[in-house]
Amino acid sequence: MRESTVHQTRLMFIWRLESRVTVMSACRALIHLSFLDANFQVFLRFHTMHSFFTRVNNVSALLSSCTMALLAAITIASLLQEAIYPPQIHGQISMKPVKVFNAKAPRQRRKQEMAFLNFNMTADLTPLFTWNTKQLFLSLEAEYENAQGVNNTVVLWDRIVRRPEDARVRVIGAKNKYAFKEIGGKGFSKGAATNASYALKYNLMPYVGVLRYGEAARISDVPFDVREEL
Amino acid sequence: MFTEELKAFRRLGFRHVLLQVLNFASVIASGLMIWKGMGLITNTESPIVVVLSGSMEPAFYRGDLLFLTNPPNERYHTGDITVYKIPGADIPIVHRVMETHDVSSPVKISGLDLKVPGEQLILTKGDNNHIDDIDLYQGLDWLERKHIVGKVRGFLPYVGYVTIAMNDFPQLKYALLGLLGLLALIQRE
Repeated sequence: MRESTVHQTRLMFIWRLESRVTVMSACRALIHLSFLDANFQVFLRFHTMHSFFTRVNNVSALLSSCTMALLAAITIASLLQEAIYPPQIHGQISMKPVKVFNAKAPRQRRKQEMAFLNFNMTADLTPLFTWNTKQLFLSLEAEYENAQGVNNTVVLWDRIVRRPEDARVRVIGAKNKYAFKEIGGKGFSKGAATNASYALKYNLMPYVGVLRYGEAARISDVPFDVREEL
Repeated sequence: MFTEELKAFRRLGFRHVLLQVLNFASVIASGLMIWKGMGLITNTESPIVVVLSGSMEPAFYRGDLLFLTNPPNERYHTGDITVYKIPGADIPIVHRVMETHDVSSPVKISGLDLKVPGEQLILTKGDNNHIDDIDLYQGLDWLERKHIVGKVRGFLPYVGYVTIAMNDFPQLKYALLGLLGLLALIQRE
């Protein structure tokens, strides 16, 4: 007898929580439905009896509501934190004129004009590592417009940073990781821009929440140095 | 074994069974409506996808749930993580954008049709792969907007394993659905 009353109150408790978080249960319904276990909703409607399934359903509903609420709270908290304390990031890029000459790109049969970078880069990205940072994706990208009016952005170097200890980037005399060539294989000398801008960008990936993007450093008007041979 | 349940089923009567079937159908229909409604708002054919492979590790692991949007007048940027589907390929792929080429005046690029302003040529690569995705494009040199299902906005770890399990073991899915459907019909109000 005693045990059944305990059960009753527990269920009452669940029910009360349920009615309080109606918005969350809407979200939960959404998630449930998206997994095609819509049938749980059938139980929700038809089981006024306190059967085994009602209990299972109530407990799972409570669990998923609480999890959803927690995840939403984490997302909002980390967004708020970023809004109140915007991370201060300093970075610097220096670069020699970008050499352009004929070379063979990976998986290409013919030679074509390719650009080769030699750059130094320092940046302190430790402020981006908070309690909700899973990883940073850093990329150095070139931005230029060619004579045909095509705006190009090309990632030439990237790095994944997973620990705050590695977030102080110091790259000296580095070369581009990925091939830098003109679209359509026409080449830089035939009407590409005479110079390009280069920027160090980051993509912050949280444990829970929204992906964020930003820029850590930039250098403008680095000329292309077109050569016949190396 | 099921005699009790069968008796209960008989007691309920025809109209009750019909009502239950109707309710069941309405639940399925509302689920579909929410799914398609979300698709309309976010402008993608599937606003929620599950990661099936490890090519984006350590960003995404198998079983992570991704939330996508695809605003029609927003261009894709390098560093964005996109989900794309090549015609002829049966599963969509989630990889990062490495190159974008925005056309601002009509231009003819060898191997492609005439490109008009507003069009964008895109190259992607998986974080965990050494080389870009050209080999995955099935003969295409570039991705274009029409191939892209959406851009990843947020993610939820592990949750997608439910669907992965159901996909890997279809029997599990049918067993679960069948059991739940049966129970829903049999249970009394």
